[in-house]
Amino acid sequence: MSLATYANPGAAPLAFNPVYVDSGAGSDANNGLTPTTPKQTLAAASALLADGSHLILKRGSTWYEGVNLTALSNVTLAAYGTGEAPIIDGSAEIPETWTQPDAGTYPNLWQVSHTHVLNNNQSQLPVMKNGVQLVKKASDADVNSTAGSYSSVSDELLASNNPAIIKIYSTVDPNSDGNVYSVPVRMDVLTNAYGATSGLTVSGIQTQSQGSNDGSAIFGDDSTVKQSIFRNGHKHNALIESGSMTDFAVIDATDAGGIGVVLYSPDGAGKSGTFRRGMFMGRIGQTAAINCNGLYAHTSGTQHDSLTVEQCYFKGYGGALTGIASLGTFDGCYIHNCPLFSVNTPTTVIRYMSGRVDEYGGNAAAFETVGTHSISNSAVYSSVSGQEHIRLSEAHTGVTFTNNSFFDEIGGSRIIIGGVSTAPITFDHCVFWGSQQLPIAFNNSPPMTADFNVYYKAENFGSTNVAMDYGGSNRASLALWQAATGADANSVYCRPVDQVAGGANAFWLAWAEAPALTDLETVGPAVGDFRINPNARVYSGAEVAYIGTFADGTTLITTAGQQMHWDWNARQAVAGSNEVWPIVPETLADAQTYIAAPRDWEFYP
Amino acid sequence: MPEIIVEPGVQVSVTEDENARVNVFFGDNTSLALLAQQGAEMARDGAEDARDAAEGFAAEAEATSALVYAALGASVIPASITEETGAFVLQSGGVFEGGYYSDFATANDVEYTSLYARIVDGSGSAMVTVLVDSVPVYGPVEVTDAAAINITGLSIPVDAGSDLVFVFTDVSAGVTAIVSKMKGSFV
Repeated sequence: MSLATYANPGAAPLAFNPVYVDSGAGSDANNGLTPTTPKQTLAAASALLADGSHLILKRGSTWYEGVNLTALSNVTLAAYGTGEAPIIDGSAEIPETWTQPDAGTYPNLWQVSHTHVLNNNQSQLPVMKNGVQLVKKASDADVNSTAGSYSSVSDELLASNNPAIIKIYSTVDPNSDGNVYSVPVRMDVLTNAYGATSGLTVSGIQTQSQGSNDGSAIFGDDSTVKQSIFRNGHKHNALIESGSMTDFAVIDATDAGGIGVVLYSPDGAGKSGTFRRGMFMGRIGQTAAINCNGLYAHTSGTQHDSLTVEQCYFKGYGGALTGIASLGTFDGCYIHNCPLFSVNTPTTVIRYMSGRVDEYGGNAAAFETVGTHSISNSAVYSSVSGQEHIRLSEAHTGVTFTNNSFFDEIGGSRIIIGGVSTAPITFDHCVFWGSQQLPIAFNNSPPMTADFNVYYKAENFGSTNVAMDYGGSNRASLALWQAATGADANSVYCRPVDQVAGGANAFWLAWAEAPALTDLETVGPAVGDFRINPNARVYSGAEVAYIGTFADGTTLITTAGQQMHWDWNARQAVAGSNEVWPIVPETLADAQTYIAAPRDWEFYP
Repeated sequence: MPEIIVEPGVQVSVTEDENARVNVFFGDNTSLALLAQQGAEMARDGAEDARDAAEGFAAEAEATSALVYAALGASVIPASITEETGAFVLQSGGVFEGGYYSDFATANDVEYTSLYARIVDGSGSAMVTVLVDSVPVYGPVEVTDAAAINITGLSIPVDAGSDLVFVFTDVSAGVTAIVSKMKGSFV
């Protein structure tokens, strides 16, 4: 027990100046000072705010207006009551003056003339139905035949195209069907402008349909954001100058080039950004990686002192992270169907990362990187042809891999491609499993420091030989690889012909999702375990087989090193490699459940 | 029970046991009458500390047993460790409205499940709001001098490292002492 006792203190207690606002039951005639006398509009409520105030939003409310806190500091936004987290919506409703331009030819086509707010930085005019963006089609015929679609005369928001003719698909009269059609406007949904000290705290709210270029939910310097959702941003969802975001979700960046969260400061000196348990979701239901990024960290001046990303989930973006212009640490992240870009990064430490490429093609390497990096205790799996696990940019300046597992199930994927860089590469205690392509391919001849690795390639290059490129030439055996690189003296490779399901030579297991290796999943310590079976038979460069040992006959072979992974439930690194993928809140409904009670979400139920 | 040393005019920390902690603050205008009153309160707090320490030892014993059970692979694990925290404010001229730290940088992840509040001295009412890291997580809820309130069935997670503050607002002028506590368990 701890009990603080205050007896006639000399100092005043902490100030608490709440302003309550309820879009439903509130009234701007109320004083806003209690939950029973809330204001109704954000404009009226925010007029009462001062430095250090609490703006407390009624759950279940929705406002179609923004909050500008630019002149204030240390303001807290929070929620009260029960129900869904309150929503600040940046869209403008389209007037219900829909008509059918050609009911005979296009019975499902409705149109309206809409005068929109001109926006210098907004290049498109997306249309949303009940807050969900519709799919744009190019012709009347396409819209007429595609449920959930829209078109406009031009998506370039030029004065000459204002008003815009917006057309939608609807089988019933949209003037009376109860649905709300809207477009984003250039309105900052929540602004605590960057460039000034703010100390903003935001907890338990949602913003959506933002219309600003710079991230409509803007959090200034030294901000704290948690248990909140930012979605349908146009073109970004949120921007923070420095501080932390925890237990949050960014969903459905809508624009090409849009970004889930921007960490930006005109001058990042002395500042940092920390992101924990954030769900960065590309457009929900998208069948391909979209051309926008999850987290974009950059500056127009001095970079941030540090960037920390922990237990964050990225899915479906063109790049999970990009423009990282500060020292970075990435712990326990899960990168799903999008590459972890790292551009202009001086030094990055990546630990306990799980990479997974299994749904669609495109530019979906797990890493694409320049800079100097250390990658350890990470595992990457691919079941899509043509995806690289790691693509080292020509501009990288040195990468070290330790205790990693790279598993390519389907093939067509090279695990590593080196560009023309001759910066040093280090592998240590890693497993490289290539089903059809080369486990490793370097077009150049970088200085190699590598040892205690296990290499495997299942097919296409003969039944017994491992084949890897070094200096653009194929090294058809481990011995040739060793001779070319001068490395991997104690490394081993495994021969496909020795992989007999259920036998001692079946030296590892696939991810649980790997259907092609189902017959191997009953072998070994656990389904989905990525580690080497110590009883496996592996081969040295001299074609000598060893069972569970190195050449000395007593020392156990590498087990991909002491593989560890990040346990999302335990919120710490634990021994052993990943056995199953974490189940993350991917949908809006799941994200809403998650932010309401993050501790109740079981990532491994 | 922790040793309590009181020297007027200085802040005294008597924390010896993480399960029993009392922080006492004295202003410059402390009167003898107030000191006497505070002494009485501390005596009562001391008694509470003794009880809490005993509860803490019991909780530790439970925790130790849990480890033993876990080591033995037993399927039955004793109940989790309970945690109670709160703020007691005594001001003879009337309780100042605002927030009072109950815990600064909490040591454990805790889920609080109940809230207790009582006007200890004086007459009138007050509103109680709980802040975690400055964010309101519960309340405001009204407490009057007619009866204490004890709200159960709550789920208020507090991560380790968080600041926990009890806020008293709309305090009647006649209220000179108020207490509010939350009880929960480690997660």
